[in-house]
Amino acid sequence: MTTLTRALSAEVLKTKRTLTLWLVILAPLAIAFLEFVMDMQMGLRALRSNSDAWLSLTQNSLILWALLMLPLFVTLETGLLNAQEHGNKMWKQLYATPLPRWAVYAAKQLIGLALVGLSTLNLMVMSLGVGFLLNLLKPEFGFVPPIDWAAIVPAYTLVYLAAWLIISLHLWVSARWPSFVVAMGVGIAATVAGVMVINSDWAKVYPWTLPGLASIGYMEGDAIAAQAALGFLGGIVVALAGGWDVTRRDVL
Amino acid sequence: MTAFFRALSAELLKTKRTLTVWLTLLAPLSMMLLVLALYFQQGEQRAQQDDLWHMLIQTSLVLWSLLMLPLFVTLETGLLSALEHHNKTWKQLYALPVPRWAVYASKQVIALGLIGLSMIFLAAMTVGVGLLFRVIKPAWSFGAPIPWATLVQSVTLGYLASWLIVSLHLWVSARWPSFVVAMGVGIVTTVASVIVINSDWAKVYPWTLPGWVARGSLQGETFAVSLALGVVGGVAIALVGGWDVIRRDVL
Repeated sequence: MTTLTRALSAEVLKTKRTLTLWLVILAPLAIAFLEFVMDMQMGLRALRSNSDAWLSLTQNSLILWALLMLPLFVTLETGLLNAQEHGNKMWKQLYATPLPRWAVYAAKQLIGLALVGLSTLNLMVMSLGVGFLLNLLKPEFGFVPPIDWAAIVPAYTLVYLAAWLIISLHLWVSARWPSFVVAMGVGIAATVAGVMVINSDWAKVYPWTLPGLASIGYMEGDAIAAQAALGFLGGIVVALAGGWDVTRRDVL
Repeated sequence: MTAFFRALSAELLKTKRTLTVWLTLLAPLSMMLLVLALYFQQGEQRAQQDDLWHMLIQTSLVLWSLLMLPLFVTLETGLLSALEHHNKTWKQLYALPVPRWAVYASKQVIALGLIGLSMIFLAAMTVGVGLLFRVIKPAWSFGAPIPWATLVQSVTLGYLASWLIVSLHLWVSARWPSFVVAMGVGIVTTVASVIVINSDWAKVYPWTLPGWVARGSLQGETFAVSLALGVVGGVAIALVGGWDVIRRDVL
């Protein structure tokens, strides 16, 4: 455990003050900004998915986030975490430090999970901020208290937990193949596919649609336990398998 | 002009046998395989439709132009510039007896070539998917003649309308050394286009132009302004971007 803490502290040091960390703010900010512009432009038409304005806002933000931004963001973030080592040929040095190899991978996994968690939290805060801002500018939209926290907080929690599978998958892909192009290519292809898959039966098992299905499904009162469990537990399983595969490989 | 061709031939050499070129095949392939699978899965519904060729062209072209193309352009132009940024070879390139503009111009031409190639593959694969269904599902309406004119026209127009984003992303990736900036800009603008496509701004937002023009051409709507914006804007941004990048000092 000490070794994991050490590897983690090294990872945190390497991540501090990088663009990787700023993206945690910028990605949700982009969504919140879009949401704001869309509501200002389209007015109530954009907010009719639910009778409660706060819930409509949450739902709109979650759809955009879960289906498009999140998979691409995860691809970019995990890609960057590993490109740091691939690009500078640092794996060898990392593996020569008196730390077990698994600790290095586990630290990256934890950082990956934390970055995505942080960005999801930011999205929730910023999205609610958009609601407050709209309340000042356009009181007729109905952004009045109370905020239904019991519906909003679990939805954001679910989008995060169901994303564990794609986080683990992309961390493995980017650690396993040194080329950044492979990492980005897989992410882009999988995300574009997700937009098609979401309307089919496969959405229930396709990793890149799980976060959207779990969170939006929850808000619409569907049964989503299976999707959430697949995303969350699948994430743990793939993290273990991925870590096993990456650490047993020789590095050049 | 000689200088330009020399720069271009050097660019070609650097691009050959890289994943960058393979992506022009893989990007449309990954998408069309999924389209194939989805059409297959929705079999009962598809069997009753009578203009499947048109529908298939629309499905693949709109999905491509709206989502895959902007991300693909980001990745390809990012890679063309990253080649120089990562190896710090701008300095060396600029020390060659080739004018700086020729270096930028050849990257622009290669980028346009790569995107054009990928759209040729897309059109070919669309026909391939239709022909495959003609064989395995004879009852479906793919038996109708292939609408070559519609296909070639919409793909060509979609390609021309994409010149603006090709120029924009090439400039961004050449101007800022960080690959993250290039990818970040591409991701954010693409996600935004999914909202914009349903608004009035779709006609002028660079990242929705290819989709807007392709859809307009397929559905017989007017798209001339958007097309002109894509092509002329693409040329203009290429010139401005080239001017900006080559006047900068390199480290």
